Amino acid sequence: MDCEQLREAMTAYLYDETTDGERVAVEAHLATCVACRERLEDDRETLRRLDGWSMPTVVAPAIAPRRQPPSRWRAPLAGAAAAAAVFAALAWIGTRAEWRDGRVSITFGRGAAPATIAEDVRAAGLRPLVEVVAREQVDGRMRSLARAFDAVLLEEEDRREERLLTLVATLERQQARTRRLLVNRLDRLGLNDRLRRDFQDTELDDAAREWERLADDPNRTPTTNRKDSIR
Amino acid sequence: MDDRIDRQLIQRHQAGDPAAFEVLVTRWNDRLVDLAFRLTGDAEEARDIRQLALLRTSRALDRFNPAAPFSTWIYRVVANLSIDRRRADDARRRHETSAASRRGSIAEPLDESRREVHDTVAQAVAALTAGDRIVVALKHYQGLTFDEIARVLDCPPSTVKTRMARALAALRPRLARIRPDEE
Repeated sequence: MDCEQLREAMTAYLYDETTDGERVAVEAHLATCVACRERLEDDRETLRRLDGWSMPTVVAPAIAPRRQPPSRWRAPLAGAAAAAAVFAALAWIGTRAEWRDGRVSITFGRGAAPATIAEDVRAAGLRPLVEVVAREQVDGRMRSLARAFDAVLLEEEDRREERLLTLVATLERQQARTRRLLVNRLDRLGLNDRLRRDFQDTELDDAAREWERLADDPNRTPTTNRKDSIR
Repeated sequence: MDDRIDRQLIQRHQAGDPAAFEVLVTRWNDRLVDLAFRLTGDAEEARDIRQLALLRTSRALDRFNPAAPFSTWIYRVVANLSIDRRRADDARRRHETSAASRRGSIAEPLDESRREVHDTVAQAVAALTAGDRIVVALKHYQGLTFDEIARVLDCPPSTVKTRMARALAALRPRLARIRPDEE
């Protein structure tokens, strides 16, 4: 087979992913073709150089809470409270909205004059919200309903988003802390710069385990599990 | 990639175990950030993309069919988000030479020679076509097999190998600039 026909198998060979048949063919070809041997060496060198690009280490938690949360992403409690308030307000003006079997069910009742509502609302301390609803009473019932519906849905989304953010932030704080700790300890051991980089690039769990082993035996050479397949 | 663990976690999540999703996130967090970083060249953006992908996951998981490999699905989500994001940012990036890789390392300053290597590799990978870049990211930086990549990209394994060979040929002259003592 010529060089071009073997190109695909050669790429698999780089990563030790050939079938037995391919391996025999590639090795037989490499034994006679200087150009392919050189190319293979070049490729291995290229792969090695790709390792020089590491993901920057985060020192500060990278997940900051949104400074100005868009209105769609209110805090969970605010979402729930808004939904409850809108439901209450709708009930006040004779329109009953209920959350039943996963759907909003609405019943239109009597209409009340906005002035009367405003009085009642002032007494109940619900004024701002219900005034809005009252203004929309004639032509805006559906809009209010949509808002109520939205609030109920968003409550669930907010809850998920909130939990996810907390989790991710915790993870990143832990990572940053562990990395700092490792680097400090490695510095104290006086290990060389290259080794320190390897540690920074190594997956955390491995690094932590490695550190445990290293602490037991300071003369031991740390190993990394990165990209072993291409070495 | 051990799909069995993901499958079990998803089944437990669907059965109402509140801890299962958190374990899934913990398992995938670093890999997703890394993939997005290799595809966009921007650490900050990579974290955003990871967050979006996990959010999308949290919404889709109830309906997720555990017979399908989660890894294939989540890698696809991150790859698509990264490519969309990068496409949108391309015009801006053209005016900010290597800003991406620089911005990514605000957190921890690198020494001069390492910074040079870092930037050279980042720029070389960024110069690849989107299709070749994904292959390099999944193969070299995520360590997937060619068959696994083929499933993520929904194409034959031979196409993946061809792309990898093409990517290596394109990377070689650019990375040759790195002096051996800098690595």
